[in-house]
Amino acid sequence: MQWTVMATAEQTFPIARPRYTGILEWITTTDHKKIGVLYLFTTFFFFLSGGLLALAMRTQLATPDGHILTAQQYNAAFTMHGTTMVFLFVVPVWTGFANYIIPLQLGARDMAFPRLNALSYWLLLSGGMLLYSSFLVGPPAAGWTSYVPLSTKPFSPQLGQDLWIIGLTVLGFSSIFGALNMIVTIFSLRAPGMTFHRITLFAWSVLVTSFLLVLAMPFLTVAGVLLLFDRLAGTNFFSVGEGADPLLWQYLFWFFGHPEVYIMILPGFGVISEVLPVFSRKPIFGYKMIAYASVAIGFLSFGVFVHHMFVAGIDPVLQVFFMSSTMLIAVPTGVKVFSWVGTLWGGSLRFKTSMLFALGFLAVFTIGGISGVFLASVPVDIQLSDTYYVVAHIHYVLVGGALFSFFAAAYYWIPKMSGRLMSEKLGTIQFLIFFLGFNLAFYPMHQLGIEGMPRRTYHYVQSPEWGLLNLIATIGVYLIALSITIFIFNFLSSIVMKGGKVADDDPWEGDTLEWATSSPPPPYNFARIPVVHSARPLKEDVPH
Amino acid sequence: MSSRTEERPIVRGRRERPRDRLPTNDTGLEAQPGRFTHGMWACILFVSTEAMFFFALFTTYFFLRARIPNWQPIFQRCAEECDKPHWNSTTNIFGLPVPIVAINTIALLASSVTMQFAVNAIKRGDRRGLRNWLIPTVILGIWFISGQLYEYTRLGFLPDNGIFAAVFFTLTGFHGAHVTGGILMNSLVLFRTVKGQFSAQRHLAVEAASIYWHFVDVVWIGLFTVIYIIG
Amino acid sequence: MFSVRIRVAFGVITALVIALLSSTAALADGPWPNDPQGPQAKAIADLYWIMFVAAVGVLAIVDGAIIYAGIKFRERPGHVAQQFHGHNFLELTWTVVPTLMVVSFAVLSWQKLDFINNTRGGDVGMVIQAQGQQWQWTFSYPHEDRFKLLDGTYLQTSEQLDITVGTKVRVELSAKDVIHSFWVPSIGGKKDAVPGRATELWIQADKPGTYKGQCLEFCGDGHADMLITLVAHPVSDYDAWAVAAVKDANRLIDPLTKVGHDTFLSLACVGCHTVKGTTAGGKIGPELTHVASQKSIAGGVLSPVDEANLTRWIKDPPAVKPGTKMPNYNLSDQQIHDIVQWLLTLK
Repeated sequence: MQWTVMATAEQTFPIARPRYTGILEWITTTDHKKIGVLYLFTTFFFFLSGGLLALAMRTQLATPDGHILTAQQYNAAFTMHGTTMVFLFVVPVWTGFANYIIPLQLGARDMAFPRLNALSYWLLLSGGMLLYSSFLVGPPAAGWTSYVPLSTKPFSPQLGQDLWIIGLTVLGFSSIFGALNMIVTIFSLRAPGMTFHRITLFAWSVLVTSFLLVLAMPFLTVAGVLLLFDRLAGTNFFSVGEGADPLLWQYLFWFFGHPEVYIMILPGFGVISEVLPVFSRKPIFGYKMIAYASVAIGFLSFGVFVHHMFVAGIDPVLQVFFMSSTMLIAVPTGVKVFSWVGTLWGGSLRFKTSMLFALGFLAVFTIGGISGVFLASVPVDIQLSDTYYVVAHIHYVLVGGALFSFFAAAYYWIPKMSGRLMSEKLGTIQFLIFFLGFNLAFYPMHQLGIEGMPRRTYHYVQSPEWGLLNLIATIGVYLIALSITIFIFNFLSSIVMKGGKVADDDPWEGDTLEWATSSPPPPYNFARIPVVHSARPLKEDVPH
Repeated sequence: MSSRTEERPIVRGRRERPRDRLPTNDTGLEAQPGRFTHGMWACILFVSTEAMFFFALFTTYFFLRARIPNWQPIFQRCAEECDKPHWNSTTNIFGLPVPIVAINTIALLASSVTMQFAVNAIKRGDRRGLRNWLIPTVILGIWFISGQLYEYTRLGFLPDNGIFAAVFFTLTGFHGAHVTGGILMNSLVLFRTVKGQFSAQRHLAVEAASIYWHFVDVVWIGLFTVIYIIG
Repeated sequence: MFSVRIRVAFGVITALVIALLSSTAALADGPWPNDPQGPQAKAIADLYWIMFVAAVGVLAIVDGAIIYAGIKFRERPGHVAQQFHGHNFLELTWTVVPTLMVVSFAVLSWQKLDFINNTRGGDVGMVIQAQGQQWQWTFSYPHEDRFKLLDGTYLQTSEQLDITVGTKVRVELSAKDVIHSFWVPSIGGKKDAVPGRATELWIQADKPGTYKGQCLEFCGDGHADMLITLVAHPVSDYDAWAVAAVKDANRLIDPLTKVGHDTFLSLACVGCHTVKGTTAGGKIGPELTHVASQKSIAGGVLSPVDEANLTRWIKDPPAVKPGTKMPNYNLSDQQIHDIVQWLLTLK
């Protein structure tokens, strides 16, 4: 953690010396930048453990009758993989970036509630540890969606299922507090002159995301609590024998679960909207359209959730309504994609690693978006739901969307956080391997789904003809693992071992406020709070 | 990149830094003026997330009620005989059987009124008024929660006695937990009032506590209507 | 270094995009979009291909534009970025055109939906109940004489579902424990079997044949092996199949051997052996569905398969074949007798 040692600070802003040093300083810190770093390290650690589970699963599926994992182990592995990636990596990693970057972009000295911010982080860590402690007592194995009645006591007696619920509830509190803090920060701590049309698009997307978290998360909490009462207190919310309806869980879960999808991808959209213009030496194309598209996606995301239940025997009227709303949500997403292409148009493109990941995002996320339209159509979804096509789709939007933009964000902002540049050569190699591995891993899954391979199966002895595509997917996942190893090596050699070139304040010639302070920023961020007159405070001389 | 740095203009003997391009902040402000204070925003958002929490619980209630054909609110000894919920947990007041829940409801509604008087008082700068209205607010809150616990013991059914019982205890139980939280918050505000920490200008905690308390009250009106009257 | 990197990056991207697009088209037959076997899959496949063409178009425009921009607008000496913030007409176009596209997809889908959801239409020729339980499908055939068994009940099968070609069959789904989902890809139509809820779908096969399907909703440890085999018989053959199936089913419930049947199913035997048509589904030992027709048992040690040899084997397997996985269960002579009588009917 030594890599964030303070750079020479301007002593114009009086700030109390931290009460503790070393590890205690990190434990007691309320500095948004340190908390952001804690978030990023913690979530990356969980990302690695979720990734190892994925490796185990793909190794098992490389052949039709693999024996690496038993059925129970496989079920536990995909349950923990999904839960980890959703709740312990993608959602909180954006909280981590937002924590570090948003106050800087707003020209603020810290978050609105620094101590609540620390609490959010420690709740995240506790929730993650609770969830992972389930490996000691029998991990949950009902999938990350934990549909009832499979997740009720009679069918999932293991203690791990209870820990899953409790862990997610704790993580829910962490997210809600973090999101609340973020909204207040964006509402109240913008630098003088920074109206809502001058905040960054990353801030816009984080703002929408935070509202989604505040409004959607309680549904997961309630669903979890009801299930926990059933499991521990003997209530009968989900006992079919008592007349309950298993679809209650699905409605509650997906009312949370679909906004959650946009919670995971919107900040990635924000990152892309930052990275593309900077490396194209151009302003973003259609700032307002992109910002409003985020808001539109936020609103619509509460009205599409039943599309997860098209084959659950729901009313045809619901099918038609939710098919239409789901189709419509493709429009604001499309607007964004086209605006990003417009941003590239006529620019002067610099292919730094961050830009490569942003372009890679654009290329593959489009595939994920399009396969989403297929799944939105009820008839096509009837054929494709619960097959590997769905697995392909969610990985194209989550890995292709969120993970590509995570790497774009990492290469873009790590120099600001550490004061050093990551190696561009290693970065480019990492990108190429990642891009190749990603497409090898997930593109064949579309075809597997069309051929009828169900998700969540630990072997496919009855259909050995699926073996080749599965083997290709497994090879792809190993390439992804290699690429991530290169990323870690790059980080260790460039940042931790200080092998990277020193980054000056604005290594990418960015034009937003985080580049107006030193790299890394001093504890108080800005010696004097800046005043801004446009969305690009550092390029106000450029006509627009 | 090294080639670019050479081209940069030299300002006062050192390389120009991006921050030098920023105009001087002569507004005298640290932030763009906002509509509410941090605390008030936080309070509004917290109540929003709580509202969604209860929205989810009400959804559960109505979903189950709609899906279960023989839905029956099983208040005590009433499973067979009556088709409307029947408040068997009553108490005698002057010889009249009065449902405990009615007394509780009146207590909670009254506490909301006293809370508002307390807020109005401190807005005028009347610290004595604040204290005098907060005390009954806290007492009425405690009355409500004790009354609810007493009612639980008199109902004659437990959370595992069927779906209605589960919904009943979950909804009223979570509401009760929120009331308890509200009482603690109000007590803290009362403590700070006694310490003299509030004035006509500075009383965010009082307003936040009152918003929360009104919210809890509104939720109870919904719960009372749905569970006890609609059934 | 700069231009090499671009060339490699874009070379890889272009190659991948082309490979990805061509891979789906390369598979000419097989999966349901290419080779649908029933009217429902056919209807959905038509819709799928309309959307597929549009999807390839959109993807080609977006990824083509990215590659074009990457080459045309790369940073190089003398190339200056144009500074503009938007273009109202373009923005309007790419809001309106996608909206029209998704609206037309929604309308097209809606039109198919009535057809797909119409499980009660007048032309339903047969109604079969399918019950999902961990981890097996059980199919109950209609109460018709041809499906009537000796004990007055009607035919039930597991895993395999037999229908006639060209008949619209309504499948009424139920679930005993957790949620399951019924799907035969090339026939089309998928529906969850939800405990406490009645759901249904219809299936129809256009050609005789055997179609693979399985449970699609994750239902626990055995989910991967909860298979469905759908056999579509020509109308002329169906009665013959029904006669054979009823005969097999009757054999299992014959009062003379019922004691043995019940004994077998109540003992540890079911943990290792499979007898199709019963709840015995173990995979460790050999399948016994047609044990009485086999030439030998115990891996060839005992032959022929008669009362004496079966009795000898069950009494003490390790004594007959040292090292066998089947232990001596110390069954009573009566139990062994009953089981052997029943096994002898499994022809």
